[in-house]
Amino acid sequence: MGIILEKEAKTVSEATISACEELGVSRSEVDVEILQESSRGVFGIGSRNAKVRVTVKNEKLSEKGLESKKALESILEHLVPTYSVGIRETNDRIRLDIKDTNDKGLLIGKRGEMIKSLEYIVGKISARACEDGREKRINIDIDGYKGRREDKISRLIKDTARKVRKIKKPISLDPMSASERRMAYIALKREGGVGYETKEEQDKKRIIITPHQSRG
Amino acid sequence: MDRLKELVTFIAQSLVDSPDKVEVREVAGEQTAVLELKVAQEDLGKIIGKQGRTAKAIRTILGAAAAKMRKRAVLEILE
Repeated sequence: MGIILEKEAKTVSEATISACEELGVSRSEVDVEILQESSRGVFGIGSRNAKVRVTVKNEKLSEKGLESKKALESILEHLVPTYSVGIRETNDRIRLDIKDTNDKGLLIGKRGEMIKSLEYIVGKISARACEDGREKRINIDIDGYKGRREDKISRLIKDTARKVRKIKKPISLDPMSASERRMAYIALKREGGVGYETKEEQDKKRIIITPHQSRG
Repeated sequence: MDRLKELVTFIAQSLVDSPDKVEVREVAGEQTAVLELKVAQEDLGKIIGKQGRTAKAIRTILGAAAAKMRKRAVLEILE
């Protein structure tokens, strides 16, 4: 069981917000149970406050989880005027999600360069700071950007594969990072009538979709 | 511009063994600020990282912070 707090206020959302503030967590980190809906009553007679019971989910965060959240928040404080950081932990991963910011583009960076840098630095800092939870990898996302990126890549693969089948000539894609290529290969497996090659140039790798099953 | 200096100081101090030896000096130009970072000799590797990966990540973050202020910033790691 997690930490539980009951709060009363004029509306359900006000009560929830004040409970979250008191616990120092974001809305996504708690389960809310409505104990009593608010009621205005008639001419102010018989009006009732709303009552909620808030339970903190996943209250057992590892030391690394807490450290990584702290480190990310300290960096964001110097970067953007508003933000909040949600955290979820699984057996092998710590997921930090940056929300409530108007600077998504800045925090994502060109081709997700900034997310990667934040992930790397936060990972280094938190790994140094603690023993507990060391093996967990840090994952940072910004308002579900990575999920959307995956959709975009599978769409790109689908469209390009269709074009390759039509013109019967190979098409080479822009260089992608290892994680993006992983998504691309998964999408390519679903495509028939095309193969692919991976070409390396300096430290960049690009996928070339070929008309025939050359490999894979 | 103090924010950039604080940002670099925070990151550097969190990465090294001797945070008290971290020094950041800012040489402000009109458009471009140069931040000179000095750490203990033994900590140099921690700031640079394998194949300069850590230094590169710090530079990316610094670049974003500067862009937000419509400035440019360069990080120099002093040996």
